[in-house]
Amino acid sequence: MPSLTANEIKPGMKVEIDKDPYAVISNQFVKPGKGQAFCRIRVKNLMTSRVVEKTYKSGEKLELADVTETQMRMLYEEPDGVVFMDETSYEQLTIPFSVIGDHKPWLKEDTLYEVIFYKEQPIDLIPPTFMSLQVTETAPGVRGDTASGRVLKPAILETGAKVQIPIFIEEGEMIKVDTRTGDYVSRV
Amino acid sequence: VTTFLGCDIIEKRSLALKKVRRFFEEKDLCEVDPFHLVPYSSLDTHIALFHVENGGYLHSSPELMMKKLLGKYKKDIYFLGHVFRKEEQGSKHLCEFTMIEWYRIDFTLNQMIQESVELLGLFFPNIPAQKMRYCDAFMKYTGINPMTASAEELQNYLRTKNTFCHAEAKEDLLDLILSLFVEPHLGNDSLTVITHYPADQAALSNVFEEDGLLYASRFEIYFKGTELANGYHELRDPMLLKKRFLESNRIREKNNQELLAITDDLIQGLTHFPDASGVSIGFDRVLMLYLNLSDISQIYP
Repeated sequence: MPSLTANEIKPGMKVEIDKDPYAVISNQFVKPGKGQAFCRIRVKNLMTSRVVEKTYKSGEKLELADVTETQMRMLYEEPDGVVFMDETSYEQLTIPFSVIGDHKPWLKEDTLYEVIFYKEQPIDLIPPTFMSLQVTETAPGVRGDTASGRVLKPAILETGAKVQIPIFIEEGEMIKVDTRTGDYVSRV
Repeated sequence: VTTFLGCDIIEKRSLALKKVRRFFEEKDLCEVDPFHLVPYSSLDTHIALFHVENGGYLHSSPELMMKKLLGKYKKDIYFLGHVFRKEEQGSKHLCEFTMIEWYRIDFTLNQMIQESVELLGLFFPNIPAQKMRYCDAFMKYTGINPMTASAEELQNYLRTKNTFCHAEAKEDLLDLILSLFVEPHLGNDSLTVITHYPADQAALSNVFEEDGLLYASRFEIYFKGTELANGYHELRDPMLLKKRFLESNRIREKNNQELLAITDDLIQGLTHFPDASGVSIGFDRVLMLYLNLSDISQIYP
């Protein structure tokens, strides 16, 4: 992969540090008057999601990481993973649960996901920010509860996600959820 | 609000430029506007230069040309214009920015400090100035003595601050610690004048001895964590200057930077002038702080 000097690194770029791929969050340039310039780069490890800060001399070279993103449609679940299809090449790929990790409760058949590849291996998957999902399990809303200040109740959605929804939503209804936070957005 | 700022900024800039020019006119300094396209770069270890296709550079500071004029006309002079520094881009850095630079014949470093504070006072009136030695500033905010600390101690300090850096040379580590952990504290409620720089950071200033230690005749002024001014009692010794150029090239070679040309013409231009002090002030940074803005690019219309 090509390399860039630290001062050319911009937020959003993917770089390789100590053999791991990182996404650049920010790059702060510092230089005392007559002294050496440095770049303080905040990066997120794409394998572990940990955010760290690295400091480089501004002329130091950083290797860009071989990271690509592909739109893939979920087809079905298998015992060892989930099968997705590349929207452009129609090729199928099984992504193991170990890669899917915390995103498992947001998997729904026939939905498009952003799959992140590092050196052609899938390393992460990003669900759509907002998903419309059916409420499959929740207690019935009790009239008058709003007066006590209790406005949310627990619910389980069709994908298995556990969320808090307003008490007026009943089982079987479709709701819109923010998959980044699990927050209820609206009725569909 | 943004459009108002956009509309207003050209007037504020114009007024600030006038204010600076009036300051120098009242003191009878002669404005000079030397060529921005120069055959040589000045002595700067850590500044990358903009090359011009058919030879030469865009000046990173007017120092060389101003010192030639100082030598030729023996008059106090000032420059208010743009300089160019490749690869510098950040909330306090621009690749092209406006600099105020002036030279005063027979001024001591202290007189130069006073006049610099006076100029900054045009924008920050009623802010007291306070002097602090380079070592004391380091000690106060980091507990490190920059004169005696080893590279390993500096690395250890950075580790306690969760800062990981590949730099190994002591001078680089000191610069990093200064930028991240000392500078942000400087000048929070006063104009902080840093003096007594170690002799190896003299750049183009003289050195002097005090209590058996060598210091640079150099100062910087900080306000709100931002470096605004850098001044020298100017070096005029050709042999010493040549030595510093060679040392600078040694570091530039190590950092894979292009080497500075060292010619007799350059050495002569940078040393054949009367005893003088000089200072440069980042006009854009002054304006940024004056207008309470957080990013330097905001002060360009």
